[in-house]
Amino acid sequence: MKPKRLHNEQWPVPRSREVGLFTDLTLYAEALALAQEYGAVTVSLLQRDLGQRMQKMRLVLRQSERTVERLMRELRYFDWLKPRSGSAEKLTIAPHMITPEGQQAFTLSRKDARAFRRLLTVKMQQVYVIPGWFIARLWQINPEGQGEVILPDPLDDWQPSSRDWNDTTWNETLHTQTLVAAQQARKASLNAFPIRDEDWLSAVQRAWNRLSNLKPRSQRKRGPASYSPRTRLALAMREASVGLLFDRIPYEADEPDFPGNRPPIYPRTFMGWCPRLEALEMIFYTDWHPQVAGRLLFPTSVFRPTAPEERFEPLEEIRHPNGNSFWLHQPKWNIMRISFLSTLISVHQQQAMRSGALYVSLLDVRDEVCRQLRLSSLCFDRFLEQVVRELPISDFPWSVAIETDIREEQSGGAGQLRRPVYLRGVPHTLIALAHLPQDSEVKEGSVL
Amino acid sequence: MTSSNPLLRRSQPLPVVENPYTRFGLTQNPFPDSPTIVPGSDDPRRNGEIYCADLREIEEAQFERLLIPRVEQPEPRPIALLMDYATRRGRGIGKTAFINHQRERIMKDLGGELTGGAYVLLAAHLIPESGGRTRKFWQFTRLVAYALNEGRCIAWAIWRLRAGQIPREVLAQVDPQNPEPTLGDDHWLEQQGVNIMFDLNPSVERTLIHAGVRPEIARSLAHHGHAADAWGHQFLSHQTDYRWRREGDHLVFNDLVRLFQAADINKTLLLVDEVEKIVVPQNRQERRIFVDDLRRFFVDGPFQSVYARFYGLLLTIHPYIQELWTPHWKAAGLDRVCAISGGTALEYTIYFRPLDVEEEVAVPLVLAYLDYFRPSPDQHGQLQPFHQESVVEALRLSGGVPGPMLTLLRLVLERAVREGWDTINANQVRAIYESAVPTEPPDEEEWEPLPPTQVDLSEEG
Repeated sequence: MKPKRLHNEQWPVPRSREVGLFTDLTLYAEALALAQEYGAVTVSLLQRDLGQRMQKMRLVLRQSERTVERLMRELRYFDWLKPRSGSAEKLTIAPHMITPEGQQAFTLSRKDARAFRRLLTVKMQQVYVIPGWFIARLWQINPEGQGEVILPDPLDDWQPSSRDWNDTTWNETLHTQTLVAAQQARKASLNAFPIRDEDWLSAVQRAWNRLSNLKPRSQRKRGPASYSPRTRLALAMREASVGLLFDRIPYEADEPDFPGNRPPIYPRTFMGWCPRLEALEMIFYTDWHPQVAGRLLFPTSVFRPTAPEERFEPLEEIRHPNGNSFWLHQPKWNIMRISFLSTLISVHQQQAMRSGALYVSLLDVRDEVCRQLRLSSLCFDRFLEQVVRELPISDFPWSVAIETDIREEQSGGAGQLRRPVYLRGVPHTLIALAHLPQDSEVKEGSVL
Repeated sequence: MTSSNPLLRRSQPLPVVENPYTRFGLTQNPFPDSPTIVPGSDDPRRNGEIYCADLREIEEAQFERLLIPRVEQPEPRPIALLMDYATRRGRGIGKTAFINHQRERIMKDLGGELTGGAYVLLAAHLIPESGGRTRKFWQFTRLVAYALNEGRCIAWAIWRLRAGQIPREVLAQVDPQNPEPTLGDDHWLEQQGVNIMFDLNPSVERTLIHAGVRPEIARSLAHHGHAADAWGHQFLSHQTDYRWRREGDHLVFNDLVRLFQAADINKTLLLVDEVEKIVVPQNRQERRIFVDDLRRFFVDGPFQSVYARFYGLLLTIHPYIQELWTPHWKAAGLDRVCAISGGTALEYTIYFRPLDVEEEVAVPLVLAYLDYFRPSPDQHGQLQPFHQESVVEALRLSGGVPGPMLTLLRLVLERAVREGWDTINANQVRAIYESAVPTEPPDEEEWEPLPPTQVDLSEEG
């Protein structure tokens, strides 16, 4: 039986729920730089002058007006920009100046990207409350599995043909696919989807019916519209799982996490928060794990009273309502070296056996290594750079090769939005590890 | 020693054993073991030779209405669609057999019967290559050229040109239903006193050049076009991808059209099967370009094929392809030529639906196969060893899709031989259906639990 929580353990009401859905955190620093340079910035000026950038593997030439508006709004919430005195308050047209606090943040972004990330984490917590609450909720959903959660998707081998838009029947196949997806999630990780089948079925069916009542986007065009049952079921499953797992009242609990009736997170904002929290090194998530149909996510941080500092980094400004401190799992290389190398090698071997090739997807390897070691993707990048520098070495006589080839699944569609592994700023996608014969030349000793 | 030496050992004649199907009055198991039609195969169960045309009368009438020119309808559609409305029930609805049958109907008398003798037609069956090897239009053009050659369309044109230039007494010896062994054989013609090298071929070449075929192509066609293998070997196989990209359209949409026109052929139908092999591997831009090129080369581009409305194109699609193509199709303006969606699509589409599960459908289809393998015509029309309800049940279990139904009946007949059944009833068909299609076991690898984590963020210390 789950312990009953007290009302005073509730999280505060967020100052704002209007979170931008952009996920590139460098936009904050670049907007501050422009405000510093020009003295004041407007939405249109930012839209014009924010540089083109790679969003994962997709080139974004220009930010949309909506994105820049949201960015500006957040910078105001963070007290890093303020409207120029005497100018109109309206966000979209008012010139905004950088504040002294914004100048400090900008200076920090130039000097220390990691410290700037931490500052952003604190600011987001102060404004939205979601970051800390989200970590606490993950741990609450699956405490035995260290917060590991799976949001199921239909299995890959279910590829139905399209249906007429008006054919919205909830049939036996959809029923079966919904159940099988949940079973697969539980099979992959025992408590990662702790929802009863009847609740899951009814929530997915409700979401399916809601989506089925929407008008087709292409209604303006002539001819009958159609839809992909797989895509619609996947959307319904995502809506249902977010609703069940991340509602203001935890699943099968009585007490809400927040005062009021509004849900803390919607399916749409959930999709924005995951990459943000991942970039802030609070969670790791992947939609591509070969053994999971759906989104696998887990925290790379924890609320606890104390933690060893060689493995954890505290963020004192974030606290659980029960008083526990917030700790990011940021182990030092000398602590993690052996377990990182051995996990990397074993995961590579498993992937190589499955695919029958020595070169395997570095992204798949990264996802599983991070899962086993509860590392953020930035930590993985950092540690892999160490591995490339060190191997082969006497206690690990393995050679490593990292390649930058763009794999087919990354060249288009959703695959472009999968975060690559960066080594010295260059995206890498393939890895091979080979055991060297005993008499091969290896570097002496280990670099600690 | 010779019997065990692998360099010298010869295969032995099969011992004479009793044919297990004889007791059913059959020479062998009449139902196909292959899920697809292979037009070039020798096996009548696989090459589409056994065909029950009555089951697709509606589709056949629509095919004729859309694509076959007649005196009362001299300008059929330049593009039409064959829509598979049973993809959810699996393959085997009979599209390929239907297309193959239509091609054979046309080629047996060059459309004489179909057009009431008014037009001379040819038809070629195009099966795109998989793996994205037909996603560019120049690759499709190359496929057209190969299909026209291998489908004997080019050879027929050359045979017709040759027929006009050889002595009457030699022509009298040619079988008009099958001129390949005579007009298609230089050696035979020489034996009849025709001077191939200095008389017939140069004459055909001059005719082609006069018709506007480029001299290089005219020469190649005149010398080798009468034999599909020879032209494939001497000309097509020498064309590089670079050349197909640069000049393939000129060959297919100008030179070959002029060849056909010189041979007084009015129209050629290109019956394209499995269009998904073209469309699915294409990216968005390639889809747009491909559809634009369809319009250019079949509807309004500066090509002889367009001026003469020479090619008729039938594209075999299913709803997913319709979904992928619709925006590009409309953007290219092809909707006014051949609506791919919307109400007017009915005017351009042959809808291929599952068969009705009824006795009048199941029995003729099964009889078409059984009759072919009855040793005596007296036995034709007998369903033995099947009970009537058993074949209807097989069609029902197969969702009205003939391919899976025939496969099921093959398995049933094999079981009947093995277990010594004299007759086959519906229960036996059902029992085999249930055992023949077991539920696929879950992939163990995919269902493995994730390995345990190596780190515990909540542990003390």
